[in-house]
Amino acid sequence: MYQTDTPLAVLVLNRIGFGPRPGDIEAFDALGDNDDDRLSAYVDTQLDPASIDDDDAEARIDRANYASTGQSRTEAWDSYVRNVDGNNQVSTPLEELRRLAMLRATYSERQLVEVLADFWHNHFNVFGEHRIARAMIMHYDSQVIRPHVLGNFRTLLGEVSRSSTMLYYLDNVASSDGGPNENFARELLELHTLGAENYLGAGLSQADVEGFPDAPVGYVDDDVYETTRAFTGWSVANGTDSEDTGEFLFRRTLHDRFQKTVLGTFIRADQGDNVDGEQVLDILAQHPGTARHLSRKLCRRLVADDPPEELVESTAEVFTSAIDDDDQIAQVVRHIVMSDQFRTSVGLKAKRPFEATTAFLRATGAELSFGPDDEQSTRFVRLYNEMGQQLFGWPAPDGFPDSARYWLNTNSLFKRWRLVNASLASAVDGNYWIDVYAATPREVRTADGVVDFWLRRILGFEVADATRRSLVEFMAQGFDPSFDLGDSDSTISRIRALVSMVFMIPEYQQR
Amino acid sequence: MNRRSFLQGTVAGAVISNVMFHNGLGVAGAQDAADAVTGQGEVIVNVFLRGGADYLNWLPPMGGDDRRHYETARSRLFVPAEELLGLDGSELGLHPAAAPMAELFEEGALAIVLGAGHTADTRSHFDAQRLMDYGGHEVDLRSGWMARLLGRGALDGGALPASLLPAVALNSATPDSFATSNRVIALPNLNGFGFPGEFSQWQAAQRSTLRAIYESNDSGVHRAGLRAIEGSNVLELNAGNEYTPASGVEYQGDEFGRSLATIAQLIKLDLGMTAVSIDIGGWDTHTAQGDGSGGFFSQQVGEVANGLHAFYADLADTDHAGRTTVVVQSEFGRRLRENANGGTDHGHGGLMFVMGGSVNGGFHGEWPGLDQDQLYQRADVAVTTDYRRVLSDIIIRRFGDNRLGALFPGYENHEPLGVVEGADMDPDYTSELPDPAELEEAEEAVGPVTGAAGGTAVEAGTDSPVTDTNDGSGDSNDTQVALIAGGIGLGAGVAGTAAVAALLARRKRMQASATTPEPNTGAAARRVDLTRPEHGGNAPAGSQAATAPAESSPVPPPPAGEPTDAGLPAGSPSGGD
Repeated sequence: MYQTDTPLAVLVLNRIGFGPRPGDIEAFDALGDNDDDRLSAYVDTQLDPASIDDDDAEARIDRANYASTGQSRTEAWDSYVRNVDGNNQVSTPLEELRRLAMLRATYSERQLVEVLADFWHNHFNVFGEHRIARAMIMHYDSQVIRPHVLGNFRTLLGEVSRSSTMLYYLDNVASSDGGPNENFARELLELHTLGAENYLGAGLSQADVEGFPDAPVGYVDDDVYETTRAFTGWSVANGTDSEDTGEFLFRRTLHDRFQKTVLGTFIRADQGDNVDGEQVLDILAQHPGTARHLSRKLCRRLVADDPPEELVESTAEVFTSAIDDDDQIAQVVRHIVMSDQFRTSVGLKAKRPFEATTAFLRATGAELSFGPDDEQSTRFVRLYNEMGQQLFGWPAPDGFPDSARYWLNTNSLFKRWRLVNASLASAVDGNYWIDVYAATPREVRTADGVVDFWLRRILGFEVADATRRSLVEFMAQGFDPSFDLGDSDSTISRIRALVSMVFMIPEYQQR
Repeated sequence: MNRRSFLQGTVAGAVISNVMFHNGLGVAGAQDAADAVTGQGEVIVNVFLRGGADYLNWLPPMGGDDRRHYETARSRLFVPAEELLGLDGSELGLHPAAAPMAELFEEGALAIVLGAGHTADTRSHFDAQRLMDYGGHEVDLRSGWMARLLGRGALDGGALPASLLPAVALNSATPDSFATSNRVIALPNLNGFGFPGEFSQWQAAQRSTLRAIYESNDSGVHRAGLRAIEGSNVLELNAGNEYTPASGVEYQGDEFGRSLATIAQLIKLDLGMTAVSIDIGGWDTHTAQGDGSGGFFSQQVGEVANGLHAFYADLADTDHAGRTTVVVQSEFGRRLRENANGGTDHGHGGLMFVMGGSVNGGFHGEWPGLDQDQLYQRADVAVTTDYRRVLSDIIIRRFGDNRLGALFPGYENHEPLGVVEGADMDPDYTSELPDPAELEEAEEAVGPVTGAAGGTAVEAGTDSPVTDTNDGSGDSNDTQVALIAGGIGLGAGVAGTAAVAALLARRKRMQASATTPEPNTGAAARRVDLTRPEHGGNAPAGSQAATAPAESSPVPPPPAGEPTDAGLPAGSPSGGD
């Protein structure tokens, strides 16, 4: 149903951004004389976020007046873990981040950073409702994830592994020599680095793995157990025989000091503090399985649910060759976005509820403060949550699924329709929150004209004839599609209902 | 009046086939319509405990060597023997929070399958859940077993069974067990599943326009959209209808209780529902799970036990009891030995529970034993009964379908287990797995009405944007019947309206028989997304106090971890298995 001549701007703005605002497509087209020039100009700018003026988004964040932004780890720990003031306050960072993330995706000019922040939050997912995560997640977002979304994977991996948020979420905080807890180690291998596709199962021993010991192709349960031992003692200064700061703390007395073997690499006994764990992170980050796993996930996010294998392979090569670079991830992302496979992937991705909702706000130019106490924001977020993608609300460590099959389900679609209809019908004393009638130029009043104006503004590409025809029939209500419908109450309310439907059609749900 | 007598008594054969042909949801022949009348009454409710349930604390040994192994390996977590609820003189006893399940067991309504689980070598949640949702690991599967069950009528080129609402996933999305089926409605609850009516003047026109658009092409999103429109049409029948369970039955206000109440409500509406999935998260208890005296795991078990009991009691005195079978499974059990954080790590074998009016209550399968030599890799409870043996038993005996080659490819050497009543059949392992695309195509072939199917112009006159300028919600039954019939695609004629009128009549009867209001099932408690295990998230965290799934119901701090003073009680049962 997608035209192959869909403008590149539409693909780019929906795939490495959260959808076009009015004027964005024209701005993209002005970046160069041909698609190659436009794409590289756009991508290079987005990969250098410091060069992008983002004052508007920053001003909005200031106005929203969040209480939990800008805190150091210990400040957050003091505020929301140590000295909790009533039950409401403990979830303040979580509830504020849920709004802040949507504010940024909607209003920030640094769109690719926002896409990748969402990607890495899901890759290193923590359940926001967890009692430590809900207190520390604003810090996790601003200090652990965001500084590295375009940076070096090994650095990001290390920051996450030492964060109080992850140490608590996956139970490593109390894992010890005498009482190992393998939760973190298992997900570190299965989700964060090598991936389940390199898990050879519970039935093999390490020595049975092809390539062992020089280059084992995958891991087995023994690697999980050995990794668990390597991370014993990786903990948090939580007041138990320690300061109470929330900072990372290596507890030597809990560490399993003896030798280990992880993925064929011998790890000596009695090394210094943290050395075992850091060494394991090095082994994992450098394993070719990790390069492929991360590349496949990024390609899945940016290109297609089932990405072309040759693109995954070439991306993995970039991942490996840039392994020590500070901008490793930026290089990888650039490779993917500049690939031919990216160019030809129009319509291959679904809008998940997050993209469907932020793109709706962007296309309509909606104003929403996302302030903690703003009632309209509260109502809007509540409608959004119904779709099944409440931000930071996925309980398991694998993050929200990234596939059309999962997201284009009955409930998700239905709740999208409800959100859009409710938003465009929302009015106080006749003043509409989002006034799409007022946004329709006076000279556009035929059924044909209204439909084409809004299809172009919201989608920017040609929809199926049958789709357009049905929308025109709705707008025309039996009149000739070229008849001037004027500005009767019926026409005005029909324009609002029509615009709503443009966000409900199948074409809008994909990108 | 049950579904069968309704169809036989009030609607003539021709009308049946019209309903079935034109409802947009199923079937392509009179024979299939007849089959639908007689053969589609069975309902399977698949409850999946995401995260790996600790069955060893759910049903621990009460005596013998295994009790000793259990207490040794779980010196802090074991459930004291005198707190356990003995079953049928066996050496296994239910966790005290599972008391409602003990009642079901005594009534013969609960089967417990020992040593149940998958037979793959994996301790990964995601691997294990996927393979169990797909129903196999020996071959590369691309569809879920419930999807194949739903589509099995089309496996041999036949037609799909008729239904207004073939399958429901009580969740905000559909789990992998339904993967590739487009016949499933995902819904967290029945609230707010009516077509949005904010533009009341245009509600009907919006609906018919969207329907036309979603019918105009064939893709996953088109099918999901149609399903959403159709589902809302059916479910609007219950708009504003507070469900009242059978007299004396009270569902708990928790998520599982509310989900089961919704399912009971839908079953009683006779919509032809065949398959239901309910996911419950929070079972990945790596830390501070609590022991028999209370704590997080105890609360989880109580939720399941209370829900199952209420659901059984709600249906017990109806025609629906015998046709409804509930299966409870999880991706694995947990390790015999507790960890140092008052929790348990990933294990292997576990249990399955099967409940319903046609269940052969009691123990089934073989207890694997807890001796070192009996354990899987000397660490976990072994699997002695393939989970597919249990499911196959139900499908053969209740659904009368023996095509295991298509339903569970790679599963062979099936032996009847006898968890439910019904006749055994020789399994057909040669029936072929349809390509997922073929399965979808088959479903599409019986999908929304097209001109060729004779149901032309279904929207005309009922959903016409030009003529319909009221709010479209319909104050009278007549308006509602016509609107819904049009919306569902039943056809504007007698057949469609008759079917919907019958549904409305049933609804009215249910309302009339209401005596006690259901506890408030409002949207107050947010539904935690349950498709995946609740790692650390819901399980209590680290050395800190426990965390509850929902903020509104904090779990009390876990017990100090000291076992209570019970060793083996003097009267500990012996003998039996």
